[in-house]
Amino acid sequence: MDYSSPQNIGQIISSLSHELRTPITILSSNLQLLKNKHLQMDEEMRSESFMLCEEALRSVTGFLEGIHFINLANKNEVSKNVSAIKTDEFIEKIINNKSTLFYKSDRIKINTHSPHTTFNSDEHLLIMAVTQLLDNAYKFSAKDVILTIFTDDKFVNVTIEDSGVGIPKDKRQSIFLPFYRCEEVKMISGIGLGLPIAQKAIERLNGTIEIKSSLSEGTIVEIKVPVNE
Amino acid sequence: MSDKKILIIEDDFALSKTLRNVLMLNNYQADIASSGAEGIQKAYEYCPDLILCDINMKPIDGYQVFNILKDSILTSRIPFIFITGRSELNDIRMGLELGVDDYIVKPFENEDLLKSIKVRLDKYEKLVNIGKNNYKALLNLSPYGVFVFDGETIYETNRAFLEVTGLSDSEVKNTTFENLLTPKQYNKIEGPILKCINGLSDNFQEDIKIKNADGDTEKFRLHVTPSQKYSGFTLLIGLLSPLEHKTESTAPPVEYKKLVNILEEEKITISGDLAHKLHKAFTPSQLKYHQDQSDVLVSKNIFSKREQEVLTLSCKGLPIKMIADQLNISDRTVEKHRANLMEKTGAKNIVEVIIYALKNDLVDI
Repeated sequence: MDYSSPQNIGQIISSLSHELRTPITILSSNLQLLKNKHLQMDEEMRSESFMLCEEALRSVTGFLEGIHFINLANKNEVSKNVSAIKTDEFIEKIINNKSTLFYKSDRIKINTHSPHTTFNSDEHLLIMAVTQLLDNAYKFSAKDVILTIFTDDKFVNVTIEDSGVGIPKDKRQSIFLPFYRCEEVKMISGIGLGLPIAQKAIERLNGTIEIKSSLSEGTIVEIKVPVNE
Repeated sequence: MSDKKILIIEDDFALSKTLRNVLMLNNYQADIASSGAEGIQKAYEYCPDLILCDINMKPIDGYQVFNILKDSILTSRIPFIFITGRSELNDIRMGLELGVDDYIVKPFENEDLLKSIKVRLDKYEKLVNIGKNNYKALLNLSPYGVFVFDGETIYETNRAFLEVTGLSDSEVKNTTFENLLTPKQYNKIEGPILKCINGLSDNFQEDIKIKNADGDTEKFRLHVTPSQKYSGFTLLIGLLSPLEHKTESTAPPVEYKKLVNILEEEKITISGDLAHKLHKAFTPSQLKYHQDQSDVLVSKNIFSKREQEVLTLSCKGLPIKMIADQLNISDRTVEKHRANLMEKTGAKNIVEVIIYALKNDLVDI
C-alpha cells in the first residue's frame, strides 16, 4: 500500500475514525445512563453498563497500543525481556485473554506434545504475536482452529492452522502492511493491524513467520523463534 | 398505550446492547439484529415502529437494508434513523435523498437520540391517522366489498361489504370469513390465503360464491393481498368484485368515445328514442347494492336547478333555440349553462355531457 497516496491516507483516517467512534459512543452513552438513569437501572443492567464501558475502554487502549507498538518497531525501539516460560502457563494466558475474539470459544483446539517444558523468550512479545494470529485464524474461518506448540533445544515452534478463506498468492506480501485489508474479506470487520503486529513481534525475537495458504481451503502460519537468546 | 417497538440493526454487539439499554430505560421495547440480513428479516417478522440502523456494516450495509425495506409494502413506511460514524455531508445528503428520516452521528447525546426517535414516531403516527381517515372515507365510497381479515376473523369492513353479506358490524366480528362460504368454496382459497399469510405470495384472485343478504349465493371475484403485520400475524385485505358485470365494464370506453366523435361530426342531436337506447347501452355498471343516490360520484345536486333543466331538455334532443324558448331564457344563457355542465362533468362537448348524464342516471327521461 502506498501511504503517500491521498486515497489511501483517506481510507486509513476513515477507518481509524470508525474504529474509535464506536467505543467512544459506547462509553459516552453508558456514562450518560449511569449518571442520569442509575435509579431506574436494576443491578444487572448497571453491571452490564459498567462492563460495556470497560470493554470499550479496552478496545480503544488495545487499538492505541497496537499502533504504538508498530511505531516503536519501525524505529527499532521495542525492548525485549527474556525470561523462563512454562509452556502450559503460556497457553493458559493466551486462551484466557478476555479481549480476544476467540475467548471461551470451543473452536480453538490445543495441541502440545510437552506441556510441562520450559523455554526462554520474551513472554509479552510472543503472547502478542500468537494472540493476533489466533484471532485472525478464528475470524476468517468458521471451523476449528488448531494451535500447536512444541519446543526443542533450539526453537519454540508455534503453528496455527485454520480451514478458512485462505490468502491469495499475490497478497502474501501486502498483508503485513499496517491497515492493509484484502478485498476478499472486506465484509469481515477489522482494521488491518493483526498481522503487522505479529510480524514485528516475531522479528524482534529474531524468529521467522511463514504462511502457507490455499484459497478456500485454509491457512497455516508457522512461527519459529530461537530460545537460547 | 403499549410500548413502541424499535429494531436496532448494528453489527457491534456492545453498541447494540448499549442502545437497547438506553431505549428500555425510556419505555421502548428494543430488539437487536446483528447484521443487515438479520435486520431485514426481523423487520419483516416483527414489524417494528421504528428502525435504528448502522450504515457501516458488511456485507449488507445500512443503505442496502434501507432500500430493501423501502421496496416492500409491509416495511416501507417504518421510520428509519441511521446511526453513523461518518459525518461527511455528502453521505448524509445522499441518505436524505433516499428518504431516510434522520441521521445520528456517533458519539451522540442519549437525549438527542431519544428526541429524534420521538419526533419520527409522532410524525409517523399522525400520518397513519390522517391516512386512516382518508382511507376509511375512500373505502366507504367504494361499491366493492372490502374487508381486512387474518384468514379467519374479519377485523374491518366497508359499507359495501356489509351490504353484500347482509351482516351488521357486530355480526361480522362474531363470524369468520370461512362461515360466509360453503366448505367447498373455502377449500378453494384456503391454500392461497395461507400463502399470503406466510409471505409466499403477493396476492391471488379466485372466483367464489358468497352467501348474500337474501340468503342466496352470489358469484364474486375475490382479490386478496397481504396488508400489514400486527403483533406477529399478517393481516390480509380482501376485495369482492361482482362477476356478472365484469365483461361489460371493460368494453364501453372505446365505443363510447367513437360514438361521441361520430355524433359530433355529423352534428346529430339525440332524440328521445335514441336517448333511451343509449341510456340502456351505457348503463352497465349500476351495481345492485349500490342504490343509495348519495353514493353516485356526481350526484344531481351539483347542478343548479336551471342547469338540470337545460340538461334534461338537451337529453331530449332539443336544439338550443327551443330550449331557450321553453325556459324563457336567451340562447346565450342556454350556452352558458351548457358550458357549466361541460365543466362540471369534465366533458368536451354537449354530446359527452348527455351521454355522461345518461350513464350516471342524472336525468329522468
